[in-house]
Amino acid sequence: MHTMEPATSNVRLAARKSRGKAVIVIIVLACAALASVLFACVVGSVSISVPELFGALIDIVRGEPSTLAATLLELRLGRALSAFVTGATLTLAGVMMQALLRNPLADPYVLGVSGGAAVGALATMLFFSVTWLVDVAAFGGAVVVAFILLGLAYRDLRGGLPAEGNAPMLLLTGVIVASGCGALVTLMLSIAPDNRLRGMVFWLIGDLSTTQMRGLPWVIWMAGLAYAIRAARAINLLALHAAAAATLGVRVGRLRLELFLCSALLTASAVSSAGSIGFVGLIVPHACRFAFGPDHRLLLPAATLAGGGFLVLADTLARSVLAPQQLPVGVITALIGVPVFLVQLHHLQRK
Amino acid sequence: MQTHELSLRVGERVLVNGLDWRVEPGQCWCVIGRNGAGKSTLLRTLAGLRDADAGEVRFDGRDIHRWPLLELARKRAYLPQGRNDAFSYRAIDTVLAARHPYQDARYWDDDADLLTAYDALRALDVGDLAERDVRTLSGGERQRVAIAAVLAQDTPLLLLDEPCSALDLAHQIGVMELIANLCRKQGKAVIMVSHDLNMSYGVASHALLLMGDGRWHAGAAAEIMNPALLGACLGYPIDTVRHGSRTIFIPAENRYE
Repeated sequence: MHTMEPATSNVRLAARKSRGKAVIVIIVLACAALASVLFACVVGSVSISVPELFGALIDIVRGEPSTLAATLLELRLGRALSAFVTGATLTLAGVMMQALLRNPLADPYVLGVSGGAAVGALATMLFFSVTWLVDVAAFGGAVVVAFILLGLAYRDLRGGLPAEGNAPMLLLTGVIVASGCGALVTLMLSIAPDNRLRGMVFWLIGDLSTTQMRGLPWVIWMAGLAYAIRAARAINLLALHAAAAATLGVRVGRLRLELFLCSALLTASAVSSAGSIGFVGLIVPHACRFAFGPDHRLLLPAATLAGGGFLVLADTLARSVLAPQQLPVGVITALIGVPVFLVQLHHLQRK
Repeated sequence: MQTHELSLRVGERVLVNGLDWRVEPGQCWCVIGRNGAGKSTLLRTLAGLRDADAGEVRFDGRDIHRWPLLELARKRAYLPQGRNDAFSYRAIDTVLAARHPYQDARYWDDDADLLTAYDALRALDVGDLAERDVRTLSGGERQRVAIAAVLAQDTPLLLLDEPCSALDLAHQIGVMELIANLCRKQGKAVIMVSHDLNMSYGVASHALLLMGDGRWHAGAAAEIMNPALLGACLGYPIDTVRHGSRTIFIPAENRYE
């Protein structure tokens, strides 16, 4: 039998080890994200050396980007930061959606929030072609769909969930709404004049080349992350026990509603600034769950940092692989995402 | 815990009608009834997962819906019948999650949580499975890990829906022994659903029979668990045989031989 003393000290060690591991993972991922941004600044059709980079950085901070390096850096840094916040936001939304639906195969787009954004954005491109209005319309479309879903699946969200339920009502409603949006998108693409078609297709695949540096996505991301970390333990319980999490003190109905609203807002934010970039919100949470375990206390911050870094790298590839030709970043994420996903899926099945 | 005029319905069917029932510390109640008689529905209602169709469930004299959820989570634990693991948590994670009601603002588990969790796993003889992915466990192992989680929640009342399903004989007896100890030595109250009359009779101090049409019988196991009542409750004639000091329930006829 186990004697008490060694067991106790082993447990102490285990508690400290898991906390230490989490801190190290977060620090490493934060450094990696920073490195990916630096890498994105250096790489391009005209490369910048590291000393030039720091000189240019000082110029920018002073507010007088006069040299070529400084101008390039300003462009690349802005784009890299947009990529980071978009990737981080999408990944965070993905982890939340997977926990909400208790399905590791869910992604931020599964419920059609991005479909709503696409309808809004494409309609604006088709009828108005004012750049800033596209983003607003995308955001508006996403919010409208989120509220339609909320109305249709409110009872399902608030409770009335079967004991082992996986939210079939919400998922089914979302999938149907998403396919409705898909039909509208196809309709608009088929009647669009040729000169607008390219922009519309790029938006659909997800493209960061026209993104402007803005503060709002950062605010939304940080607010989402703060909420996620605060709710991480409850999210674990929801993922583990579904409705029975209530017997452990979780207000399941409220948590599910908050998760839905939060992930919808995050998705709307990401999609309206960069289009519906696929696979980030599915692959990165998956990979992180595989690497660091499913504990949301670590998974949420780790996945969001990894997702940001991943999209920065993917975007750097997208603009440098066929330079000066620029690819939409959604193509790169899908090209990386599909094989990674298949490998993981088969690995899961083997286990 | 007590129920007052509690009624449960599913659609048009009345499962339980006007149940007035008291469960005291140290008592072990066994809920017996046919499939669909409302045993699990009753347990879910007691756990607060389902609203009563009439009447109320009280804990310490207060309606359970008036309790703050976290406070209630320190008073009663619930073991549901089936499990559906969507994510690959480790066994120890699922047990640690049961410490949630005690963690307040703490983000990580502390040493005490881990000690409680490992003790619970060892009590169910699954200490060596702590690091295993719950989705790779066998049905019986998963069931024992789930019971360990209920144990780690450390509550005065335990609601167990078929705790012995999927367990092998030795572990069924181990779990029954554990439940008996919880009631007799630690003064906890247990309400469990079970289909094994003999196993239940050995451990239960009291029994609640759900007749399936709204009628019910509650009382000390020795009085309630008699062949006539059990036979009416389960819809099959039942006999008893004596084996040493033990009473064994058997089906009165054997139609398939």
